Amino acid sequence: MPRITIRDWPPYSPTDQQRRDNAVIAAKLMMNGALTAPSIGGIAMTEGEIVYGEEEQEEIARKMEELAYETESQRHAFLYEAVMVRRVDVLLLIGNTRAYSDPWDGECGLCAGRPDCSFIYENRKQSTGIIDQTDRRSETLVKGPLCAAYAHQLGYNVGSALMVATHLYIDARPFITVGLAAQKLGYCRNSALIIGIGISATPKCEPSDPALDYHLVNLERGIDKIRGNVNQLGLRPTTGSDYRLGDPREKR
Amino acid sequence: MSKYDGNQFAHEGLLHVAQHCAQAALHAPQLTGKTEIKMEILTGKDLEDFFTVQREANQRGAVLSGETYRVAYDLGRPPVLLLIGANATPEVKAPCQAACPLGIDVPRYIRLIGDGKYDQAAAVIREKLPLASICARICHAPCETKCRRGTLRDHPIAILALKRFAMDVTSNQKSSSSMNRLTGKRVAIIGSGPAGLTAAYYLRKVCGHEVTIFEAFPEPGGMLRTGVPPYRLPREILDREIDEIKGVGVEIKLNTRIESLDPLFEQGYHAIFVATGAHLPTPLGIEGENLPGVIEGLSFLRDMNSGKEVKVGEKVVVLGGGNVAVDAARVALRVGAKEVVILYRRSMREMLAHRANIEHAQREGVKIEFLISPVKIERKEGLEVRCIRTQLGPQDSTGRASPVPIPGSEFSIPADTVIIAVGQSVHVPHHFGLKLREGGMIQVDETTLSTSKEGVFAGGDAVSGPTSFIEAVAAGRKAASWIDQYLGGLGIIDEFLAPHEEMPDPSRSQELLTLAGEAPQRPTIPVLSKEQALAGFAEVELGLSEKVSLIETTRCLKCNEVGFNCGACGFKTCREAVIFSQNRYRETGGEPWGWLMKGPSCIWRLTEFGIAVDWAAAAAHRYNIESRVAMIPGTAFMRMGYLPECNMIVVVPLGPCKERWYFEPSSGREDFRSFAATRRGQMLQFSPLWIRFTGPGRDFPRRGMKTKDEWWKPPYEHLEIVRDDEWGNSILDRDYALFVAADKIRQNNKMKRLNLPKIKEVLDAKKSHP
Repeated sequence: MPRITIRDWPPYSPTDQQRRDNAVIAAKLMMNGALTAPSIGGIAMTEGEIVYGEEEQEEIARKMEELAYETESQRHAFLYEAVMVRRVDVLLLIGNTRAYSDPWDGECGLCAGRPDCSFIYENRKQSTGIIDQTDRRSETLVKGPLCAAYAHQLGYNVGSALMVATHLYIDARPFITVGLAAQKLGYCRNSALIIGIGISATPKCEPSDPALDYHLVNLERGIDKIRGNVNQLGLRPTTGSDYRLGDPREKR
Repeated sequence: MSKYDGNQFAHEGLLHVAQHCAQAALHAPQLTGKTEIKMEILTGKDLEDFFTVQREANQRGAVLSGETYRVAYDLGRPPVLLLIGANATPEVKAPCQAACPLGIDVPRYIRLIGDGKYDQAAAVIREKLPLASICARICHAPCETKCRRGTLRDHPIAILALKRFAMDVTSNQKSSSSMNRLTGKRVAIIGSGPAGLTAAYYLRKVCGHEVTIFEAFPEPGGMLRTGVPPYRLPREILDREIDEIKGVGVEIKLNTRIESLDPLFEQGYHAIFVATGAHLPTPLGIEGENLPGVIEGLSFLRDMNSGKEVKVGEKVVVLGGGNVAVDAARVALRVGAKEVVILYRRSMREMLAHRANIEHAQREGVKIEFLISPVKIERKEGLEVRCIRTQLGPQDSTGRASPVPIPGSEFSIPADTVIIAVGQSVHVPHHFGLKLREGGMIQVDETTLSTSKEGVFAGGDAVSGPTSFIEAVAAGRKAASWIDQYLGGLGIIDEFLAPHEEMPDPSRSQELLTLAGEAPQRPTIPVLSKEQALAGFAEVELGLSEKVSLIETTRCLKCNEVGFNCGACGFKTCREAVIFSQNRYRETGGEPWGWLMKGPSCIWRLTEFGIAVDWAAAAAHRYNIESRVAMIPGTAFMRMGYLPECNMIVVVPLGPCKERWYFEPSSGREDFRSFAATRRGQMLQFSPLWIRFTGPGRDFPRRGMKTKDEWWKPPYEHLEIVRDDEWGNSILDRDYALFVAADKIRQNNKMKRLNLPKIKEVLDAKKSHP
């Protein structure tokens, strides 16, 4: 059996990759947890997707940064959390497939309409109660109204996934913004409502206590800044004599 | 050795697990961070109320599940229920609103001012507060202390000034004078201060009782008139608001000192509210405080406010740090003093006087010396106050740092007049026969404000000791509600004065933002110049102009909105959702129709709440304890008044709670199995199963399908098919049945009652009548 060495630094090196792979296993187990959560009516309506890899996470992060400049009040949330998306080991997206098109019909009255789901039917193109899902145009970030009871149901799914993460002692945090961006990019494409969970197995869980202006002041940007300032570290190339002609330190 | 009771042991174990589950819900990860979770653990006899509601509501046609709990209870194994509730409406309770003892909806009136709807903004304030213009001048504004902009690196919104602006521009408008029919009950109120006036207003206007206020002084207003000088509260404002209260039918008998309560009952009053306030000066307890030239602050203010001539010497020393002390100093400057010094034994931070009052005093020339404590007052050529310097020590019983004298630091300050204003205490006439607590304050039941004497209630400073205006008003409201219940009413004193709000015009808020510019600052409140102020008793603060007020509204962070503006709930912006939610809640006084829960909800807050519920349920599994998540019984608890302010309550029953566990086969539970409905592929798990083909688009008639088609009937015994135009009349009846049953429980448990007539009216209006 070969030795498997795992280190959390430097990022995306083979030793770091081993660690990240374990986080993927955790994400898969978390998804199973999500599927066994308490369920309204016992109907299948949960969908999950695991996003893993530098490029894939970067794509979602960029989308979040794009959305940040479409909102006023939550701009900082989108920007901060985009950094977290780049930083985490893996993303687990959990969506509800029925919230858009098949409301609960449980007389619950949780949404803004009457307790017969008519609020959803009235706001959709539909025929005989079957809602047209092909019209995906929307003026808002999410094409509402969504079934409120199923949104609550999604909470159960996400909660169970997060509970599995605590059982595995792995850091996980749910994000609204990640779900919004992922939905735009076509992840969990049957779901109108997605929550993204960032999963991370590092000594410092940055998403839990970000610095001020976290989209600027974070570890990656900090290190990058230092790399750019090699001059200040005394790493600049020696000038003057050619080292091939002899050690430049030695005085001639 | 007593017999080992395994059942009891197991039950206690479940209670412990319930606490762990509750902890798990509190520690669950959050999404918006704005969803407050409330929980309650119920078991044993506490469940009986639920069973009563369940039985009565089901007899009236409701279908309220959770029968298994009752069966288990009857078997001697009461389940442990963890109730988890959250307010997941689009409207978040803002810190400013939470800080207000009256719960005035601050973000709402700020929003309405911004929209230019000043009369509606004023109505929102008046809904909770009949003395709104007074409040806008003298409130100590706990809302501003908690304003989130203030807790960030900025100054809080000028909430008080905005309130004053709204009240000033609508001052000529009368509040609506709709009055209930008289109930025939009579209430006597002793004291016409803020607590008494407020209670009188609601008891007469909303509850319809005949109210008489007895006031010992020649003019009504209590401490508002005797203690607050006109430069802070102009008398025309005070008179106008008292006149409005008189206008709803309250009688005020002046110059009538009540020494005993029994004669009032003999005169035919059915209930008495004692709101006599705290008018007795606290003695300083030092040598020389009775010397000529030493006067007491409150009586000094009272004399001045009642038009008597008051005289002070050229140099005045005021002892104390409250509003009375600061006002006495400001008045002294106005009646001839050349130099006024306030001596306070703690620091500025510990002063009880309002910050604005202190600032105005200093601007007018009052000097305030801190960390100085008087030791004695002597008469030499003039008066001389012997003082000692102090330093701040550990916290005392008031929660403030205690002043510790520094030995050897004594010194003297000469004065012509010394004013002592170190606090007031309560004096309740002995013949009232009320049980008092320490400090001479009246002892009351904290929930109902009832005293030791049947039919007598008390509130305000007479109960709490000297506090603020707004707390006295809150006590008046509470008293009115409980006196009404005592007299057989519902105790509902909520008024809804503001009309349904229209959706905002987005271009207006854009214009406002342009007007406000990049970074608007908290405005400085304009005031009279020092010379103008000292020339008389004209109001010193002048109020904000319209433009400044409008700009100030743009600084509001709108903490009452979730703020994603995502559209998931069906509204384009959070603001629209909040407005819709507020309009809807006001329809029935906070209890909207809806079978399970109270909508509308924010999608994200509901998801967030779901995570918490799931964690609670999952935590039980760590202890190998079964748990479920049940929504339907939660409705009953909500209607019964558990976990107030939650729009959704979920029950997490703990222990062996699967229905199958309780019921052996053929125990009559067959009809309660979960049941699949094939249409739209759905499965509904509660029974009897009600499927309704309702709402637009479910166009069976157009497709030639009759709604009473035979093929639906067998084997679906309980299937109810309702025509499009008769949707849910039966649901509304069932809903009302639940309200009725729950209201009885509320009454028994001394909780806030449901407004059943109003709820019935709303539900009936929603019925369709073919």
